[in-house]
Amino acid sequence: MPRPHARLSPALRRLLLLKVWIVEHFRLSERQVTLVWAAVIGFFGALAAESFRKATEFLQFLGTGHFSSIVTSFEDLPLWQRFAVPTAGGLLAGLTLWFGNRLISSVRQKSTTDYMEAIVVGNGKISFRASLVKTISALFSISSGASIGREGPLVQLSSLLASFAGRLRRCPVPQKRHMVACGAAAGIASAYNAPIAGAFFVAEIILGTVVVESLGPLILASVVATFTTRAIHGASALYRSPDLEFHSRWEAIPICVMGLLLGFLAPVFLQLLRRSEKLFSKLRFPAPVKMAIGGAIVGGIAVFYPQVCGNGQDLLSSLFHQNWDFDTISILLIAKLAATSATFGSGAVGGVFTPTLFIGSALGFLYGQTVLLLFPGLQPDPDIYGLVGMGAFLSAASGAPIMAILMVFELTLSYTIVPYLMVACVLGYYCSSIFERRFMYGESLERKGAAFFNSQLAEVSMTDLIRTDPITLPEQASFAEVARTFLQFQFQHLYVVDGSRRFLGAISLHDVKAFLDRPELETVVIASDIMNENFPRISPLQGTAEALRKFSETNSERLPVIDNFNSQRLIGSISKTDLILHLAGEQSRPAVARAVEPDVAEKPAPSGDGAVAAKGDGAK
Amino acid sequence: MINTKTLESLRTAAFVNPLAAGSEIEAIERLLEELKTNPLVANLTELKRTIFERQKVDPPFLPMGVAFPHARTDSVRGIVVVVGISPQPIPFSVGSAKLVLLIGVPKKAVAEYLELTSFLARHLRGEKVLDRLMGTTNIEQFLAAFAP
Repeated sequence: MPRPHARLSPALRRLLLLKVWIVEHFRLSERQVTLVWAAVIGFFGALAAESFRKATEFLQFLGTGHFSSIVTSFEDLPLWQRFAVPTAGGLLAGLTLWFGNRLISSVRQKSTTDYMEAIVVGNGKISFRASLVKTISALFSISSGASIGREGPLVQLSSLLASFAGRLRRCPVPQKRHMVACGAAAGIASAYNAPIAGAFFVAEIILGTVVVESLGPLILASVVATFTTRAIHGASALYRSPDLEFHSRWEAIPICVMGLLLGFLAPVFLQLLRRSEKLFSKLRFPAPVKMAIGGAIVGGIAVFYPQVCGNGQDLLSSLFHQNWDFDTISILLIAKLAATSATFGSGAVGGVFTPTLFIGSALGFLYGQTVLLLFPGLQPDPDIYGLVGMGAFLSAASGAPIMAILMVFELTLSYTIVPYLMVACVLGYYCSSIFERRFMYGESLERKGAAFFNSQLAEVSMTDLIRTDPITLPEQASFAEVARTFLQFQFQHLYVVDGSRRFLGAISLHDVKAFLDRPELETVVIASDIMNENFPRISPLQGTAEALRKFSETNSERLPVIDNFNSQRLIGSISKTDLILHLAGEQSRPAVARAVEPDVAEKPAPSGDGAVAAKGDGAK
Repeated sequence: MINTKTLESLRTAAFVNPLAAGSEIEAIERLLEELKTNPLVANLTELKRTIFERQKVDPPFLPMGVAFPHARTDSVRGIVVVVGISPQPIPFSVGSAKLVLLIGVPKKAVAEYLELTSFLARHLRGEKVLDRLMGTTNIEQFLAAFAP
């Protein structure tokens, strides 16, 4: 039975022509929409990070009576208070986790608590409650002088916001993960004023791949976050050093040796953190007591060396701007190592990224002073060795040489050191990888449970990429309906189905755009007259390689997905961007899987994953 | 202004006047006979099947009594048109037709198909044009009748 034809009004037809013109000239593709979201995430991620900073400063004021830096605050405290504040802070942080765990474990959660897990193996959803508990706990630890970085919570918060954005957008899992990755990049960038390193941190360490498809949004999120942070705090580099200069090309030799040495020492540092963690886990005390003990150890050290308090940023700054001698640096290095191990081992929420930077710098500085003593003819500058050491140690500990090179460059804005830095970072990484297979961030995933990780790997399939309920038209839809649907939705192709949703073909906007202003066609042409019956389609049973091949047959951003090639029932559509992000993730997984593989047999996965892990995660 | 390809399609069209048929099916079959020797038709049976299938869904018909059964099918290598003029109205499922335009279009020629259909649908709504067309006896006259 022929359908009555609905005609387009002249005004609607003019609107349609305008829309088609806009779509043709300014159409936002899926990739561009992702970029817009990345910018939004970058902005709000930076604001979230800033809010966390302010909250930390306020709590620090309550505990110490000072708004200045954490080290200065502790230097001005009486000795008893230097001990009491970190102890009380550890206790409060532990109590927050303890009560938080009890609260959250009563609620069955499908989302994860950690942004790294959300990006690599999860579904891109981060639990709000668990993140809140971790953030409050981190606030207590960090504001009371714990030797741990606030970068972890900053990244966690911006990733949480990105996770919300992903849910709001209702996109498939790879896109959600990618948005969380943008949040993480924004967090790193705003924490260190380092947009390039922020993007590469996530690409190299978490995604394990540097693909333009995924890197572009990461870069944009990082840059927007950095600009936002700079608008608040100014644009200076965190550890800018005075003019640095190499006096001899022969210095390349001791620099290379330093890279190798730090490559040997980084696994020792990681081992120290693990041992400390094991030691605390043997204590038969509840988490609040353990964290109070961790705080007490930091407080005990702070009585003599208040410089160990905080993430190490002040210490690092002093290292480059005060003329400390060999002994002072050695003592502070040992004190900082002890304080960081105690804080980390006790289960405080936070990161060891900045402490790692200080430890690398201090080792490099000591090495530079030794070179100066042994080879005065080279006129080595220990500052340079400190900066290069920072990068080499970070590279060796994190297993991410590109990120380490970029990070140190952005922190110092010194180009002079870059060639030497690159060599030292690469040597450090290769040397470290002889002894270390998991690096700093394999640990985080391991803690979240290798079994869970592996099961997630198996579960991710083509089905996760399908967007359900695509816009369709019946085969007898009039040309007016076709035009109206193109006006209503921003698609380049409309799918045509029969009464039982069997996929019949697709109408291309490109084919019909020149005729959309012809009212005479509205009643004589129907959808089946202008559809392409041979439009490529994909079944979930086919692999991703086949999907890629089919995308190459068309310039469409999406492909229709049918249940199988017999019934051809349309069940959804798949986007090229989602597929590429998915494949980029797949590419990185074998490496991540290897990182956690050795522990699958050794250590059973912890139960109750929805509960807060009493540990620093992410950007450590 | 007529599109060059549309003009070419109409210039090579077969012309039947008078079209003697008592029903929609007879009219279409009679017009299809004109294509038996057309080199652009690769498979006449398939073309016929596709046209009748299309007629079942939503037969294109203009209020002035113009029917244009058509199909996009790979059974033709280029656009083929047959013009049929019937002094006696032929009963179609949606009305009585006095002018029948049978069109076959290759699947890939979407733009050409829309251009041709648009041209015909636009001009065949005017009563004067239609009257002029009804009086034509060959394709040259038929084409000339479109001129204002």
